Amino acid sequence: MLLLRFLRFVFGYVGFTAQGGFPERFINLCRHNKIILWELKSRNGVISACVDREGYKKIRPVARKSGMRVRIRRKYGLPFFLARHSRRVGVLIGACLCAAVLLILSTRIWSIDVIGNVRVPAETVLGVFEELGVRRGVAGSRINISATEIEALRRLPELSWLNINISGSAALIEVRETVKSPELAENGEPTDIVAARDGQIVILRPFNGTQEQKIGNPVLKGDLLISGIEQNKDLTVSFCKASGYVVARTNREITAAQSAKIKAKKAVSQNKSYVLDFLFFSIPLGRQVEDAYSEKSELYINGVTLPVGLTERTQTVYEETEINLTQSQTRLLAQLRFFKNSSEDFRYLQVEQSEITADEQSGCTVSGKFTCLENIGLERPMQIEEINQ
Amino acid sequence: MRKKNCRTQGRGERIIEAVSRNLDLPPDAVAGYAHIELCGNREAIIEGCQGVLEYGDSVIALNTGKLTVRICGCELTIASMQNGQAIIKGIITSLDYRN
Repeated sequence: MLLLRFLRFVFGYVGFTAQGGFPERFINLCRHNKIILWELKSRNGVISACVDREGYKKIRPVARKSGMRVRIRRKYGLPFFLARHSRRVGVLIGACLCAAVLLILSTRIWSIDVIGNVRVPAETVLGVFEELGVRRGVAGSRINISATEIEALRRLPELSWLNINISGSAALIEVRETVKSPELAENGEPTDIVAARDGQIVILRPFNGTQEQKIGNPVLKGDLLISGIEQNKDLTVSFCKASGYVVARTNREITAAQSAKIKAKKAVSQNKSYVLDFLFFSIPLGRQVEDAYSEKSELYINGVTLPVGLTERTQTVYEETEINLTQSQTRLLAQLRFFKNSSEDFRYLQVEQSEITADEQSGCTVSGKFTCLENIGLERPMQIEEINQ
Repeated sequence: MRKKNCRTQGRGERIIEAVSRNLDLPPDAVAGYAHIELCGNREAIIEGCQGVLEYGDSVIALNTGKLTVRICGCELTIASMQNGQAIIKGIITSLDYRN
């Protein structure tokens, strides 16, 4: 039925009313003259119906024979529409141009998305593909997918697999990243384990090499803890890579100071300008600012990025200024600095005792004394000289 | 005993009807009757229509050769009529046959 309506629209049809005379005779004569009528209705002695263009040309003699007066109600369909607008050449040219532009642009790539990346930024992947010719505005049929995939994979060693799916005007680049292999321990060079800090040994577990200290011994930084020289049963020695676990009780002191006056950059004013991105054109809207931070917003519909976007460029003017902090602000900044300094050091150790003090004369100084348990073992390559006998 | 007004068929027609009944042939194909399909009371499809005898928004009478089919109802419309097939839409209240 939809197809029939479409065909009727394409070929055009006429809606008419007929009154007076004999409607039955009119219908029968139409049927006899092979004039196809549809949507035939009768209301208060007036019949209304639709007929195709050719049929309407033949309907006058039939109506005359049956004594009916026929009047056109409305003309429907493409031929009548075109005839009505035939004088408007500009509209026709515009419609043709629109159709041509749609046809041409629909063969091009307008949206490129990257999925499956975690470590490698999407910009890096898109940059490589742009160098290889997969960019906005390029014809989809011109992309040699397999060659591009191989070349992109060669240029991006962080990726183990990638695939380009082109669907209409959208290209979806699916990637898989490589998994880093764990670093293998090198057994070649003989090493000692020495103390990285001063402390008192609490736990000592040598895995490889000869133990040189005992539990409870105080050690200084650089003292040998586990030696890489092993004595064999035949009283000869062999060199190995010493390994082990040496936990010692150590003392640490961390200080963080903050003055009450600080120099800082203060934002004084902001100038903004906008650029309209459409297809591969960038249209500046108004006067543009220099050295600006850009933020691009793109139009998304159903998860597809459309080639229409707005870039906001913001230029912020800063001024060097001196800020006088209040006592609480100074203390807060000093504490933040103290925690920042200690967070990295305290990641791999256990604090047994701590004493934190704050001195608030001329700014704020936060200092902490800690007694910790930590692994002080540090690998040091062994100095070996070969003596030619 | 049959009623007299129902005995209007000729002998030839009765033979054709008997043959088609015994051979399981559709009577509309053999005896030239109209084939009528009704979809509820909203649409009637009549095949074998030879002309319109009466046309109005409450009555449409169609010539189907041996019989006159008279469809009564309201807002009746001939949706299409070509190749001997008429589709009548509207609210159909009754359908009767006349010789």
